[in-house]
Amino acid sequence: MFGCTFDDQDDEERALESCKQSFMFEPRHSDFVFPSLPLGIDSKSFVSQHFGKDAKNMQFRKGTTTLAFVYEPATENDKGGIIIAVDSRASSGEYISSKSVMKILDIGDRMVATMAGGAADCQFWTRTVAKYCTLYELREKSQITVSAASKYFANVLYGYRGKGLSVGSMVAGYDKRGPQIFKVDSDGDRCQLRVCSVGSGSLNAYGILDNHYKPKMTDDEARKLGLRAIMHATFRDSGSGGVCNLCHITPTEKIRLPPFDVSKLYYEFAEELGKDIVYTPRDD
Amino acid sequence: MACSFTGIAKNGPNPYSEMFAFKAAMKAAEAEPVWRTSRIIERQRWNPYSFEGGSTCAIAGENFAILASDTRLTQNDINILTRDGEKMHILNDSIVLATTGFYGDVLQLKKVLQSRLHKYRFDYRSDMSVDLCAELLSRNLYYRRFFPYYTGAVLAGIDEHGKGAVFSYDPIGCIERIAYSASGNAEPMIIPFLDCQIGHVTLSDEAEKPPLTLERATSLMKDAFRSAAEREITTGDKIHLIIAEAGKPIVQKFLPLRED
Repeated sequence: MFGCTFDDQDDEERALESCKQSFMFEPRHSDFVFPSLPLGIDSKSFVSQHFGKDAKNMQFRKGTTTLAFVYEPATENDKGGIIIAVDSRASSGEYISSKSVMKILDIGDRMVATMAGGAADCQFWTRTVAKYCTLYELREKSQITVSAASKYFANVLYGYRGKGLSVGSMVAGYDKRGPQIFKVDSDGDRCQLRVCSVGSGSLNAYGILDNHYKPKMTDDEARKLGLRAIMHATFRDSGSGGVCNLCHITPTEKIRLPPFDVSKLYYEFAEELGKDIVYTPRDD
Repeated sequence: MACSFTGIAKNGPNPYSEMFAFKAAMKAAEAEPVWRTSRIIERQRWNPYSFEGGSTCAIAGENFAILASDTRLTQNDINILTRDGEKMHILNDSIVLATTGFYGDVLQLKKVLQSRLHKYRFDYRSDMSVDLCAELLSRNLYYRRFFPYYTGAVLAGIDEHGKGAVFSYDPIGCIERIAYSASGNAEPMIIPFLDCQIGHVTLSDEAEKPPLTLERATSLMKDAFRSAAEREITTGDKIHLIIAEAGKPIVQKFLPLRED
């Protein structure tokens, strides 16, 4: 009876061992290579010639304002965490090819990446990172850190450096080290920040963020700040617009808020400030 | 040895300097000859693409998807190659691909998708759903990131829940699921019209907003193409209309359009 159970355990252990050997290897690089142009023609200049600024018919979708910041709860009722706010415009040249793009892409349960620069580049490589993270979790039986995920992302992008990719992404999430944001771009740059903004409207967003950001805020204040920064960026930057998508990552969950129309937000904020938008000439 | 070499250079003029200068000048002349204008240089650059014009459009409804395209193919926007070139391809009972741009790439893209769908059918013994096909198309477009397909694709069909689905793409596979989409030369004319009529973004709150039925979508589509054909030179000849309704076979129609 006892011997039998021991044998069973041995069998199980042996099975587990063989399982580990056959399945738990480090991920290998796939053999896939992107088909390239005939020898001697540089893909970067070729692509920019046919699909770049001066291209007549076909242009890639791009243009953005994205921002993210970390804050601590001001009172006990607040959750704190990370606010990620983005606009939703994709333009190809001067034409707005979409005004409802979702620029907050999921990487895991507790992690997102934002999308700035070439839309297709971001979508594709974020998927690659998401796949890596899922495989990591299955292999290591623990959640991947934001730092590790963003490093993988940066390494992948560095591998394609100089080939004309255009990615400006923020990898934001909550892990065992707390809330973290990493800015990653297509030059292979990666840095950790508390307050961060990327894209054509980032300067305007920084203006608002730097003015009103406090390390300790209530949830409502923080969400409002995200909205306000995006609204002002879309107001002054023609490359940004549409609606404002907001994502709040708290220590326990990821909350996606419904989209806010930025042109309506303008009036709301003006009213809050007591600013009169309608010009009424003085009756002398 | 090195010492004697620098000695020569220092003492007198380098005997090779004239030769080097000549070589450099020759190279420069070869790369950018002064007698070639920038227009000729541009023309002699390798250009594998052409653009055959035309436009396509797709609208998704509650239980239907409707696609339309014109059937004109043009060369250099002016010369009409054919009046019945089909830009839309029915991939299976619930997926339709509509593509504008370089017609060679349009056909290649169709062939790639058709063979992948065939393989899927062989492996899984069922037809691929439109959501899967949309992701597949996105990835296939991106795989050619460094030598892109010169196409603007729109994929439409009926999804697993019986709802209409439209996916729009850029040339390298930026994907988005939306209610209506267009691509091609008349895109900037068709989309604002649909924004007004289907998206209701330009209407005031009091204005009447009729629901989108199949009849309404069909007539909007015809209107869109007729007005595009009035003002856009590469769009015309015939409307190719494809209607996919949940639980019904796909219907194809051809309607006449301006031929000038």
